[in-house]
Amino acid sequence: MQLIYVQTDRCLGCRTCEIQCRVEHAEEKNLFAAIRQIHPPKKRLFIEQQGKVKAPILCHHCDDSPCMAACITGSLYRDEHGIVQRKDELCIGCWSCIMACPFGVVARDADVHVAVKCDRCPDREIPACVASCPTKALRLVDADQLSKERRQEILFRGSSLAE
Amino acid sequence: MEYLIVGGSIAAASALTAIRKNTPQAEVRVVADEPVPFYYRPLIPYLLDGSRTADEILFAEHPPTVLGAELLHDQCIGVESKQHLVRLRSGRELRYGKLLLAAGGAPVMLLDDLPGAKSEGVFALRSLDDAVKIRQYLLHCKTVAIIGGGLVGIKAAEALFRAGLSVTVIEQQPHILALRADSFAADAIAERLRSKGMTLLTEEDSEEIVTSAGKVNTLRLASGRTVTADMVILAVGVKPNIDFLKNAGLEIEHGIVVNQQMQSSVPDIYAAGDLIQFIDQADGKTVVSGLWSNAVHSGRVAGCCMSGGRAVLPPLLSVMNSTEIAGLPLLSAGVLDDPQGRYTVFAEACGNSYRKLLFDQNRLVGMIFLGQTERAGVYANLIRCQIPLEKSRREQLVREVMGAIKRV
Ligand SMILES: Cc1cc2nc3c(=O)[nH]c(=O)nc-3n(C[C@H](O)[C@H](O)[C@H](O)COP(=O)(O)OP(=O)(O)OC[C@H]3O[C@@H](n4cnc5c(N)ncnc54)[C@H](O)[C@@H]3O)c2cc1C
Ligand code: SF4
Ligand code: SF4
Repeated sequence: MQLIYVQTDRCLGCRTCEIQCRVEHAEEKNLFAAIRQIHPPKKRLFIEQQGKVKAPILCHHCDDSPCMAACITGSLYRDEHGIVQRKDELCIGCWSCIMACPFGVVARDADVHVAVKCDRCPDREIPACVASCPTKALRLVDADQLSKERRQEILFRGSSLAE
Repeated sequence: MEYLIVGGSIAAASALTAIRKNTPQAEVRVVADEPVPFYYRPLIPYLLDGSRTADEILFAEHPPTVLGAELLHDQCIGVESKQHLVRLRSGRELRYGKLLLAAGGAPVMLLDDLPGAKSEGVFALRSLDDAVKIRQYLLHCKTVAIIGGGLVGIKAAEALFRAGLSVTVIEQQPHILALRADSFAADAIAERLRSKGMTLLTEEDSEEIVTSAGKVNTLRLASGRTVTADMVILAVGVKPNIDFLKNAGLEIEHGIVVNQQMQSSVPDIYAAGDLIQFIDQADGKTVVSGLWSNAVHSGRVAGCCMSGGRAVLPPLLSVMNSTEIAGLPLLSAGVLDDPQGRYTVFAEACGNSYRKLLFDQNRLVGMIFLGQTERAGVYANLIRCQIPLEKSRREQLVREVMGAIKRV
């Protein structure tokens, strides 16, 4: 499975990812149309600041996802790529998923009365947030590839310590 | 190994899914007594005003068919745990290797206490069947009295109001939604419901359902007041479905006592969903579950452990609710009120929104959000997992919630 990996030390908090997320989920996928839409699209990731560190907070598409467990309508489901998706027509806007997500990444779209969350941009190869990040703080990586990279990093750090 | 599941709802479905992950081939049987099992129970109020049909609230995939289990439309009436045997209403007896009790809850019917409660036109709202019957009956009704102003009562009231009935809710307590809100939030919601045109009577007790020609006609209250009603809905609470387990030898207090693997006190018998009891992480009290998500989690853990896997029940709360009432989101978790002054409480109201946080020393133990939802899950999770918070974190949290939240 592919993950979106956030390197917090690279994030400037410029919010490009948030804007591109909105644009991607607009009826016509461009900024000006998105702004003029009667109900402007809601973003599905959130730049947050903790002390000096800024970072985007995104859906983890968790195993045994708390949001899916809480959804009382069957609107939330896991697709064949392991992504937790939501069927618009089933959502009643009960906000149980918002109450259940420990990362706070489900948002309420009060205008259209449905919950919105990351759908990993089904129309794109690379999600809009990843593609747009000017500092490459967001990367789309393979889960196995990532753990290999991390192991090598640790090994490297270990050997440089030994020297 | 043969698996037997009693119950045809979300805890059963969740367990069946988990069993299938571990044992694709084993024989699994499901005994369910509803005519049509496996549907989204919290959606039954939507049948009352016709905004959803019965077909639309069924699980998209029928679990026994998709997961390969035999479904028996029958009712379990007894468990002989020594012989590993259950008895069914039809007279059939079934052997089991491992048994899961997922029979959920049943509405309290007040049959003995309230004269007239057995008359035509008195309903509960717990099953799809109840909802279909109410829908049929209401076509001949103009007025309805709902006894009980809890979540189910209010959901029924809103749906019946949308269906065009004149609605009166009778609540014993001083406020509606006693288990899901504090008095401030409950009064704000009551105000909005009243302004739409519903009648809500609090601190009122029902004394008798008066009938004419065998059908419900009037509800008489202890105060002497009378409420005209062509139909009465009893929404006074739910109790775990455990009567059929009397001779099974299980340890039962408020609900079935289980360990972290959902095993009961009797070997090879597991339980999950609305009939178990567990420790509420907010205040340490022993409670019976009544939440969809708790049934999903406990069902999954039971199914996994029954079929040789390893899992533990995650920390749970008895209140971790979210719903939209009178056009406002109401999200509440953990301890909601502090009559004894045990906790540090922060509350703020502004326009249509109200927020409250309750701390027990260094832990967040309760929250209420009315009219807003932002990051609710983050706070609910701090409560559920009993995460200790340093002073600076607590202050930051209060600022975040009470002041402008640092998110645009
Ligand atoms: C109107 C309404 C609104 C709700 N809204 C919410 C909400 O917004 N959020 C939330 O979290 N929860 C909500 N709930 C509660 C939620 O529906 C329950 O917590 C959940 O359904 C529990 O699932 P369960 O599988 O444990 O039991 P149940 O859903 O009660 O199912 C038990 C099943 O077992 C069957 N059964 C019982 N005894 C036997 C027997 N002896 N033999 C064979 N079969 C038997 C029953 O017929 C039933 O099909 C709501 C409930 C209602 C009624
Ligand atoms: S919305 Fe939250 S709970 Fe659901 S998968 Fe994403 S991170 Fe997990
Ligand atoms: S808001 Fe929609 S997606 Fe979320 S739990 Fe309710 S029905 Fe499911």
